[in-house]
Amino acid sequence: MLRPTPGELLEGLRRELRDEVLPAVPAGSAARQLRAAIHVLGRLADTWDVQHHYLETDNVDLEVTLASLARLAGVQRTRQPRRPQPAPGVTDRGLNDLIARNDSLQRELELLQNRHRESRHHAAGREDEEFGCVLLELHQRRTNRAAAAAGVAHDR
Amino acid sequence: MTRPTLPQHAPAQLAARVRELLRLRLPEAGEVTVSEPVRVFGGNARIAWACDARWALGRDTHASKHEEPLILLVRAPGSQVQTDPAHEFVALDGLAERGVRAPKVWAHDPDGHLFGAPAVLLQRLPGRADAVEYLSADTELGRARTLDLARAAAELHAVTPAAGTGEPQLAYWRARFEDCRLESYPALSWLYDWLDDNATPPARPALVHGDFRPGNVLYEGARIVGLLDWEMAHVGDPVEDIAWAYHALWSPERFVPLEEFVAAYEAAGGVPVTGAALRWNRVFCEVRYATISLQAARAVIDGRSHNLRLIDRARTVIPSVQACLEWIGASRPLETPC
Repeated sequence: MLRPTPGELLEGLRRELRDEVLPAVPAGSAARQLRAAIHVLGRLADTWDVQHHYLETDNVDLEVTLASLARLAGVQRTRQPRRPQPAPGVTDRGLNDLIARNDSLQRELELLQNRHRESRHHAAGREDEEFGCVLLELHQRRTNRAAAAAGVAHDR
Repeated sequence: MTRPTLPQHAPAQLAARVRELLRLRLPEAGEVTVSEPVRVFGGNARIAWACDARWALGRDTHASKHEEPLILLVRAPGSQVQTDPAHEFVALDGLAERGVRAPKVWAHDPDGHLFGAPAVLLQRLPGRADAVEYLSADTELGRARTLDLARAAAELHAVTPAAGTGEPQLAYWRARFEDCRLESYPALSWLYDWLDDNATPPARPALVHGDFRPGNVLYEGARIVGLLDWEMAHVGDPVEDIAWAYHALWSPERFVPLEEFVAAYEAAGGVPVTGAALRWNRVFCEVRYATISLQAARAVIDGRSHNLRLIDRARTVIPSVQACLEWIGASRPLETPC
């Protein structure tokens, strides 16, 4: 069964709540809550299917860039263990694996940048500059990727 | 999970408690009367009631009669930011008397024994407080009002702050970030590191409003009548207020570009603003906004807040981080291009 897709369901919910239900709700707290819910439904309708690809791409980028950063810092990678519990609200095993990997890579990145910052106070040089550039560019790529996945550019 | 709520008070009971609070501040007054409070919008963090108080000082024919419009602000359960009205009481006490466009502070209930949560009782100033209306005003009116906002900031920052003002802001917000985050957010950690590495003491420490923006002012026509919501006030770098006012979500940039706002602020006696201080404070304000967003999202996920406007606030972290990375990238020395 392919149709309606989750996106169609979410968009249908958003449309009907906005056009049929919201006008019947008196102005006040309940109407404000409903408007906020409609906004979130619209966001989910636009982005429900991008999570898998987003995480795959982000994980590859983190993996490759962490290797470069470790090399520039002259240290070994310090891979972080995956958290044993599944991500809340996720039932698909493949998606859960991607989230767990992303979480452990993010923790490794934070640890590496913390260690590099501590050691940088003792010795700064060309590798240090390069490390800073690679790190800044990684954060820029990851943030832009997160913006696309979260539909930040598509606010209604 | 139990939903946090305030005890419900009948209007007459609420009026009696406002009267009780006010009497502590007016020991020489004769009878104090308070009208039944009416609920008004007080933002996401506080519950607000408006009322009017009347009293007389002195005796018989020599008595001077006073009438004061008041607003009672009670901390809302599950609020996403630190909103201790006692903090607001300390920040505001005496400011109106020193020429700052701030409401006079009458009394506070620091432990919430009267209203079920900490509360502060303030003078109710005239004017409108509507950020949407402010930001959609016609260009000429919005420009005149925003230039007056720059003068109001300069007046505030001219006040000599009280000494001893608690935790440094950067450490405070970093601790909040580390407490509330649901994942690592290494980019935000890195921005906190950048702020720490690039911090310089303010040229002239001042009382910083802490939430200085078009949504937190009362205005009448082109004039800013009063600055509201002082619960995030602290002593620090006054440039922080300018940077916060120009956060993209509520920026008055359409009326007055940031550079011109800074010039108007300096011309009105404000602290000289360097490019480096402005950049540092803009990054700091975005990081602070991102942290507040994470706190808000966490409060809903944990069931401490039921405000659906906050449930998806974590995604607002993204444009804040994007802006900071752009500013930092652009400020790197030319010999180290990335």
